[in-house]
Amino acid sequence: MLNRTVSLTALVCAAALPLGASAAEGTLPVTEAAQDTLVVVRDAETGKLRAATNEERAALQSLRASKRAMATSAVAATPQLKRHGNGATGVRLTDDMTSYSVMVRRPDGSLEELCFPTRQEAEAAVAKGFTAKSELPTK
Amino acid sequence: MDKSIKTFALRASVLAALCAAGASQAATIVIQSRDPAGVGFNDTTPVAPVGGNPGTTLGEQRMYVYRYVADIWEKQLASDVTITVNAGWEPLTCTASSATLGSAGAWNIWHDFPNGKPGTWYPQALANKLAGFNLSEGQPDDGSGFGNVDIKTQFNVNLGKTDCLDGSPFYLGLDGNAGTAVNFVETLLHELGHGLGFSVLTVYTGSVSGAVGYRLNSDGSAYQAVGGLPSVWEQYMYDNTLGKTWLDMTSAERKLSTTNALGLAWTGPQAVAGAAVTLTSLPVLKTATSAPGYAGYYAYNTASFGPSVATGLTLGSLAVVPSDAVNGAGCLAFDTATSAAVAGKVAIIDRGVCGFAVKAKNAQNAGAIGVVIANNQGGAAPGLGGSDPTVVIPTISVSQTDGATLKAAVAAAVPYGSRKAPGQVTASLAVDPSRRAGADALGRPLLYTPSTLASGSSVSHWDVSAFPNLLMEPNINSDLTTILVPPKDLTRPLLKDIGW
Repeated sequence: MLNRTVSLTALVCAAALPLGASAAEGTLPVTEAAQDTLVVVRDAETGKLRAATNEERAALQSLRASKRAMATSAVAATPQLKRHGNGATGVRLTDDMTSYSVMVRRPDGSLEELCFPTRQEAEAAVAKGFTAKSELPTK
Repeated sequence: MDKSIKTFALRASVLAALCAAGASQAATIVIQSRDPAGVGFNDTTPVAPVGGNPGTTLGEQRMYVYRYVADIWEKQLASDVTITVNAGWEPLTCTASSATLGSAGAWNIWHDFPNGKPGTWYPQALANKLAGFNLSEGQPDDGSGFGNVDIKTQFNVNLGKTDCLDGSPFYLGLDGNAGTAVNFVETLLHELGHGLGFSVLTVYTGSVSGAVGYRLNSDGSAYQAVGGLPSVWEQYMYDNTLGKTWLDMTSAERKLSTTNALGLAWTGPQAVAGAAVTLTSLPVLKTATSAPGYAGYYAYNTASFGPSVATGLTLGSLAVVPSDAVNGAGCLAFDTATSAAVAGKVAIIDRGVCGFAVKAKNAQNAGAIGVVIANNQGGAAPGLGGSDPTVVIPTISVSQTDGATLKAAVAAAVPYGSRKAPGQVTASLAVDPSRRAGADALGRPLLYTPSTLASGSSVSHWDVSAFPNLLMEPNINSDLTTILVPPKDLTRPLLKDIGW
């Protein structure tokens, strides 16, 4: 049975374009979906996702510092292709493609737990908190 | 025949029948720690047994919960291939008032394997079950030591410490009495659900807006606007507005569908059947009137101010506050005629110009006993934000369409009374026995597709309108149990729909 593993690093690097350009052209490399340059936050007033300000970006990068120390992060940063002898194709995913649970303590002391589909959204929620009911439209 | 021989023969025949039918045995889940000495599962800090967890060190208690949750999942799933869950405790992002609790997900995915739908992405644990063997067996490791596992998990080793959701560590008991701590059983149960297949997984739904709806390509290197392979989920994701499944949509249509509030249903037969016996009847605004054709049920939303409302509340007779293109309906103190119209009644007021709470307070000052805000734009009934502790009458909202119907009903009812007592429309909060809370009009459970104002934007959960609360809603609610099947929950039915 033939098993073959191929690193995608070269593939991804060759395709690495500025995010706006690559998404607009119809392709988003998996590694770009997790780059630090893709920092977004949910605006407290509009509730919409927007690019982070420099201050917000700095705060988030500070939050990420501890994670960078994780020994496994370098290994997991790039998807890894697998070929099976029976024709099946597999991919070992990355931490950016898993679900994240976040807990936020509200000003009244209550806790709210939410699950996010990507690390970026989870980290934005940690930094900014969830959209509270008081942030619902008021008029 | 000797009883033991008969029993053996019966078991043998049952086993043979199961084998002939391709039946799988109950799943086996192995927990594989990647923690170094003294950390996480290996933390030797002494602790007292808690809530049914007999561990006497922090590490022992953490592993006991993992094993407890894995045992729950083993009873729900069938597979001849061992499921391996890699687990570690690591420093994740924190502030004093918020924290990433942890994450989990399928660590390997496959397409075009034996017994799978061709050209379709599956999480490895499910792909292995369908194929009947471990697809990653013999694959070179990626250098991590766990590159071939089915599910990778990590949880926050610092939770509850200073500057990491201070004072709220994981509760490691099994009895749900988490108090101000974080219920680890439910959190892990939920996250392992994602890793086992409760996720659209390979369709991008993250924060890069331009790429939402893209599919992962066949070698897993990029999400693509055109092409790419569908997730095994997509066949059952039916958008009631677009009238098609995600399988038949363009990436632009899938993007629209991710924010089509209450518009995306799961059509898998197991979950639909389960919803019929699990979800309760839908809470609605119920109207009664003598005017033919105007009595009915209307979806409503609630306000962050005023008294809380619940099914069973009698609101009263409806009255209409006139529109005001300049100042906004209900934004100024009510004039004499309007005050007379709403006194002792529930005022229907169009949304716009001023705050919801302002409108409610003006109605209250005029003698109204309740308020219905009619949306002034398309979409569902909006949640009503704002604050005014002096508002003591109940306020709810309805959609623009339903608001127009209610106003028409008030006008239509007038002739069905006398000159001294014109016909009226009375309103109360009730349930629609023909609808289910968290399901579409056909009883199909809804996936979570919030509008942009809501937190998160994942379709990989049940909608938050489901009642009773379900394990796989985006909010981990405090009233959840560890039961994953109807009539308590819909987790296992969905997993069975995709092949478990």
